[in-house]
Amino acid sequence: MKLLNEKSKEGSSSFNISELDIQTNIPENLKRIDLNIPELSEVEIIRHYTNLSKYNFGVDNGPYPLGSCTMKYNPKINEVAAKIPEFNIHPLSQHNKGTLEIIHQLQQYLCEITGMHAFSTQPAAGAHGESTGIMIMKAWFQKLGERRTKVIIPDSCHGTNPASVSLCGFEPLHVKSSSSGGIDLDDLRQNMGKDIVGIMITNPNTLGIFDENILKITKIIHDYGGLCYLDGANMNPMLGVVKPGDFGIDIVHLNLHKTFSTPHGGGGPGSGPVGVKKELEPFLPNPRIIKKNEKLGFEQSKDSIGKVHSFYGNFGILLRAYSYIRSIGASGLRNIAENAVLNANYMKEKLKEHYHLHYDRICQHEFVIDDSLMPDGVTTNDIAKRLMDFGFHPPTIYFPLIIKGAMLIEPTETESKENLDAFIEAMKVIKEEAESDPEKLTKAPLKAPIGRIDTVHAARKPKLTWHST
Amino acid sequence: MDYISNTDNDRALMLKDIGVQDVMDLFKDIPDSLILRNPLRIPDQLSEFELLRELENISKKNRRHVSFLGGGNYNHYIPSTVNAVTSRGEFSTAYTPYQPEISQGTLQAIFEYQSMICELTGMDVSNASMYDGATGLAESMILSTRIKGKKQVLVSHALNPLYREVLETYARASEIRIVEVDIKDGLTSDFKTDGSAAIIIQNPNFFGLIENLDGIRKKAEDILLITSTTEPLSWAILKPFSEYDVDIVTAEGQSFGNPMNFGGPGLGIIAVKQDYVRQIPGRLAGETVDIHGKRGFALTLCTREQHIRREKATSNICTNEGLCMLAASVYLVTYGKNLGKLARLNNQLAIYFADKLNQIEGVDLVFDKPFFNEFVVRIRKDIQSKISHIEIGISLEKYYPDLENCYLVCCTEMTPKEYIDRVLDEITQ
Repeated sequence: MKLLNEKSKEGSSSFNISELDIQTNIPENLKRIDLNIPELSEVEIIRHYTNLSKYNFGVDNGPYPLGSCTMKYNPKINEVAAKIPEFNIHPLSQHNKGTLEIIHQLQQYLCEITGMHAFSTQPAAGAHGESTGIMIMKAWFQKLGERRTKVIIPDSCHGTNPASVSLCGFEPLHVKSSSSGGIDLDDLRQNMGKDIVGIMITNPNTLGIFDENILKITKIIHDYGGLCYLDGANMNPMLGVVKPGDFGIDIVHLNLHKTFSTPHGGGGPGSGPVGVKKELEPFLPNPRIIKKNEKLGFEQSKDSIGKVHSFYGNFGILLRAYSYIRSIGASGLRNIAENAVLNANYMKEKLKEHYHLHYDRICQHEFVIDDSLMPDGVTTNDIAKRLMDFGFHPPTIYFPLIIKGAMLIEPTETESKENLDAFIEAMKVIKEEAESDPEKLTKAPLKAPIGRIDTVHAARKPKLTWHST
Repeated sequence: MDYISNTDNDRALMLKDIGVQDVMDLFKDIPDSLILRNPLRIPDQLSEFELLRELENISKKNRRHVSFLGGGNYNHYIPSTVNAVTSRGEFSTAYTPYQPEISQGTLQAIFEYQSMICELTGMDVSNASMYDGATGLAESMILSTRIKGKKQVLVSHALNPLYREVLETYARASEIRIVEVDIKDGLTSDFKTDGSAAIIIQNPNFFGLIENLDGIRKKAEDILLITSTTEPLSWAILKPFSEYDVDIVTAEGQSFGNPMNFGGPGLGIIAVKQDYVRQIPGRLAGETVDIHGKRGFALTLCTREQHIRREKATSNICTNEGLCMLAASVYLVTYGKNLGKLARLNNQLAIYFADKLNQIEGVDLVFDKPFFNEFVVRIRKDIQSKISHIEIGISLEKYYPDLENCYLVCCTEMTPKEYIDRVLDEITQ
């Protein structure tokens, strides 16, 4: 499709402005001479983006079983809630009681769901929550006067975990997974020492497995005085079933855009609130929104890691998450976990007849299969591309890194049995095609708006704007 | 309400196929002592209309009114085209475009956004956006120390103090030293670059004043020049940063088509010189071709990123503000060249209000320097009490103790002349 710049026609913009008859105070030598923003009429703008939208696949278009990303349906009421005019206020306005009430109440709900004592809603995304959490760990040991340098990370972790650790000046120390998919306890014990800041763990992990040794793991860390951080990306199957606070977690971040159904927006905005146990509360980002003597307000703590966002985080997203929690209530939260786990196990059982299942055991909300049973030359990438032709967004591929040719599949609780069956059938057909007509797969997708994209070409000589050649 | 598609019958069939009796059999890896026996202490579910009623009741505890607050978050009109586009489910409910064949909509929109940001700033490369203005600036600070191999940066005292707080948080974590550059008459004064990786200057600065960056490159010969802007609408009438040989441009892009929303989500703009294309944090969309030779777009240079480079990545960021970026693109193309007129109107309203205020006894314009749409006034206490219901601006005393009784006043197209006149009447009565 043509670009805005290629469609632009000088003078076609109709969005007019009446200026005042007042001389500008900006000196001539600091003024801009020309402004080259594309110009289109309103109808052309709307058609441009409407046509672009047809080249996009969202949850509203079909199933999106993207492991570790929890692409569940986003209820439309959330969008209505987010557009209530009175919530669109300036962050420094004093007339903010309603807004503070939403944030404070959401903090309380998140505490109840996770078993934490206090939450900050400042972090704007999951990885932002991670770095906030690691900063809290750093501040904690500085306060104790201890110099610790290493954070333990399982080899099945999210890529953001080690990056967040090194951003905060610590060194990630990778521990192995055991043959059953949990953390290798011997490897963990061997790595323990007084230089360990703590652990950054995802549980259920990115293999979809709830580590049955979780209580032992958190005890080992605590015995050395370390802190346990939970990457809450996989909170969905725990809602109302188990609280991270109960299994020894000291700090947790939640991905509101995953678990609490706020739309991913083609990459954001997300929201990554961080929750902590009581002794860590003073280290949360400043300012905190708290209730004191029945009055809502801001509080600054001298032990705080400081501010991590221009204002108070992504309020527009917090409001959607609040709306979601209120619309489903406690029983709805539990329903999510049960149906997410049911859907994943159903799909896993059906797919293991056709694809190699690395860990043949009960899973939580997601599971990993791989391409090792595929005929030569047909890869996970080919399977992913072919799935598009069947009307599915592909699962997460080549992650977790510890399984070669991995496909991490997360159906989510909002998909129906019919959709799960259709996905299973598509995967079965793809397997058959791989044997009978492998070329069809390597050329897929055949029905997408565009053929398979050459990503190597894009990286070799990057063209990142319309102008540069 | 709930959003589950399975019926009880579906569930029974599925459990049977899995070969378990009860759904709780699927949670048997969890130690029994951890399984919750009681429901969460969260209120019962609500119907849509009950929920909406509750939210509207809570929202009424806010008071929405025209104010003169700015300082990093601005009340601008959002053209109706913006919501029409961003509310399309194909955009709003899509994930990061890792599968380009079914994400061309998002990818082309990012490419077009990158093109427009480069046009506005004059820089070579823009990414697909960061969390917000302050964190984008913090990432740039870290970037500069990595490029220069030095752990010290200079920061103008006229930088938004909230941004300064965020910088300090990141600096503590990354063990970077921040050295402050003084101000003179509200503008960044002279500085020494010794041992620093970069200097950070806001323009228009926190006081709304336009910094004259002519000749700054000479003073900052051996270090990176980083700018921060909280009101990028000013770019439509100010000389682009590339002409001052700036290395990294960062900004808060909320002004471009995103509501105030109590300060978030925002839109972290970051653009750099070509030299730093492999150092810039965040996502980049690039042009390429499909197997038929047809033009297409894909995320590119991903080897800088956390999912490949892990602890050696340029940043831990794995998201952007996709929908806010889309809103910004639609906003910019809706205004087109008229963005210049809008910027001038904002400037004119601020000049008008500042001049009139300055004529009132007990109100003084603090800095006699060119500004864009914000300015600082000192208001005598008795006048302050007269207009306490107005929110005339951000009180500066908290951040700058020497600016006692001073306010940062902001005008936009949403504070029209008639409204300004009414406020002036109230003050002079």
